[in-house]
Amino acid sequence: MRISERQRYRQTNDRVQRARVNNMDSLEQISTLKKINRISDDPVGVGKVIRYKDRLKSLGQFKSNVEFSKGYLEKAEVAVQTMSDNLIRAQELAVSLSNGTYDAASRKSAAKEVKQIMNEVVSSGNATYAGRHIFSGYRTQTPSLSDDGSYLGDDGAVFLQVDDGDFRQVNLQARYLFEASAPERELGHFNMVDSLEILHDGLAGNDVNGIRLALHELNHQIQKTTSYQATLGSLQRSMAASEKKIEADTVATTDLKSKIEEVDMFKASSDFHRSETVLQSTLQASNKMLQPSLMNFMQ
Amino acid sequence: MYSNRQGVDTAGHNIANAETEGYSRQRVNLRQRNPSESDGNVIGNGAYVGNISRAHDKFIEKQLNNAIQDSSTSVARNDALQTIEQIFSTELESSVSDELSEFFNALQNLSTYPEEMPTRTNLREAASNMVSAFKRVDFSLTQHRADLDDKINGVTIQAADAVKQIASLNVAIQTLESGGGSGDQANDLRDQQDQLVRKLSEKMNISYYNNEHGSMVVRGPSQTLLVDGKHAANIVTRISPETGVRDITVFDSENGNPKNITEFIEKGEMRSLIDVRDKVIDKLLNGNNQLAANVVYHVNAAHRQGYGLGEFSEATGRNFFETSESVDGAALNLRLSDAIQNDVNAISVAATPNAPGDNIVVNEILRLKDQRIMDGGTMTFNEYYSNYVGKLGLDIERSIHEKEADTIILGDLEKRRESVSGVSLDEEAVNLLRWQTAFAASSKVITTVDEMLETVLSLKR
Repeated sequence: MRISERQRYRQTNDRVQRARVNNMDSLEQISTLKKINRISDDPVGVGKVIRYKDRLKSLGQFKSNVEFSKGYLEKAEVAVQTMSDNLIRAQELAVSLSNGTYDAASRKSAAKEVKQIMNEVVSSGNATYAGRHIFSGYRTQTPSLSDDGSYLGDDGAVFLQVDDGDFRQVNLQARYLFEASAPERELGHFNMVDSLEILHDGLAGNDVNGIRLALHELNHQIQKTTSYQATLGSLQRSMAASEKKIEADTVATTDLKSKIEEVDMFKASSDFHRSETVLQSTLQASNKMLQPSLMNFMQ
Repeated sequence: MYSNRQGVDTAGHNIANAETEGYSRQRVNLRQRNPSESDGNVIGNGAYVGNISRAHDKFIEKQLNNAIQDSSTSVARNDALQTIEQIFSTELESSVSDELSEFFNALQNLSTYPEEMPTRTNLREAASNMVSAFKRVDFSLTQHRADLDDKINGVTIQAADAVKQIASLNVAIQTLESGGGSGDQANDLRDQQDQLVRKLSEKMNISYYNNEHGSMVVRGPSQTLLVDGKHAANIVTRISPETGVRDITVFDSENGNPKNITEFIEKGEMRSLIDVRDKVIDKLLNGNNQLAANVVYHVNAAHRQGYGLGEFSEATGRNFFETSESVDGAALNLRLSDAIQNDVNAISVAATPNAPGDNIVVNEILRLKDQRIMDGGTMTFNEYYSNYVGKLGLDIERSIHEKEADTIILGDLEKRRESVSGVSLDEEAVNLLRWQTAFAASSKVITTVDEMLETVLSLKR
């Protein structure tokens, strides 16, 4: 085979170019720490990465939804706990003061305390979280209870997404906590604050029968509150479970994404060193090879 | 002596052209002069320069032209695709997919705080970012199509130029070769012509042969006559009224009939450029438009059910986005509805009137994200996006592989051509020495004859 001049230079050029390209590729991988720098680097991988990226963003959002829900539910729990404590205190007062040994004066002073309890129940019923009244359903900008304890909210159920296609209710409808339902009314029950009102009136009017009626009613209210608390508790537990699931999913997805996208540092740097050695030796050899020609030895 | 001088000159010519592209090395072919006869003896009359031929292998040349065609096809395709690739770069943090995710995340926030101004404003920002992302893709693709169109025009001009030069070289070669001598001697002109044919085959598929007069005949796509002797066809681009992009048209003579060959070009740079312009970019534009149209349609359908805040809290039926009726141009004409642009209270996410905390409608919209809406109900929005970007990626990956393969084949053939036709300085050095020695020997003959004459003349004294 004849080797012509252009062939020699061309071949040398090709070799140097190839070595340079390999060198650049491994340098790019090292400097970006990514295997995929263009969609053509790994088209199938890119499709997956796009999906994982989206999934991670969603998971981040679901996590903040869950955080919000947890805060919301905790606040509701605290409010309901306060109500329950107050109702129990009222019950205690009712039990002791329904005893015939107390006189009108001490019942009157107890009535003042019941008034206090009423106010506290109303104010915890109007509890807010992040500026929204938690017991008002969708009417989040309106207080849940009026001063006399009648319910002003609606029956809106707020759902938040905690996973693909999984929406969870974060508020418990509170109407039947504060308001006596129709069947309850038939059995002679009252609204929550009204039952305190009865106690207050009974105490203020020194009416033992009134106090006894209130005592009976308060037992019922405390029962309702306790069962409401239990439901809140189960919502919280399921939120905690969702949170764990989201965290596990985030870790798994991040892992999958980085496996496709990220460079194995050890491999990348060894590749880089190799390509650099190749480049250098190619340059050296080319320099030597291009030199000699018979022309140099003539004369 | 003259013959030997010619040898040295040719070696010099070769050396001078050692690095000239497309040059074929030349050889001096000496012939014996016809002997003369005297007294029944046949006496040799020395040598003369029979002709100067070029080392040229037609078979390799044909193969080389085919390889050039293949490689320029794949190189042009690869170049065109790789510029598109940047539009969908994974490095970008504001791709359509990212902005779509951000839009849905903003909706999630709204779902958590439906009554709050900041979350509504945030949603409006995310929505308009998404709109920009759709538009950016549409705009960049359209821009690329226009660029490719310009490039097609440029390539056509180069091709037309090559065609004209081939024809005028036909004339020059004929003139030179008819001036006497035998065989094809216009070596340098033929090299130039071969070089032009090679350039032309980079642009489009051609076939060529030498006719009985030794002139080159070139036919282009669909057997269109491009060059015949001194006659060259005119190749131009004309903007097609239907598609709004350039078609490639051949006029067989100055005022001849136009022939549209756009569809018939099978190979070469032109084919790739036309392919990417008409098929690849079209598909991507359509994908982008489909996605935009579907997002708009479904989000709007849900949004129209909702009540807003403030003055919008008792009326439904508002669109979130506005765009064109047809899918074509869905991305280009995409914008937020005026109501939402002017007042974030118009964002309507409540299923009941006067219910600021109601997030039922926003949850409906959120469900769209995981629904298989696209492509006949087989893909979610995001899967659709990653699917069509992935397809582009595969296309590019394939074009890279094709380019590599074609480049290797081309390189190999070029080496073979160089091996036959290329100039080797070592060889020329040897030739120089050879001719020099021969020249010296011839000169020696003359001095010897001279000395002999001298001897004869000195006999008289």
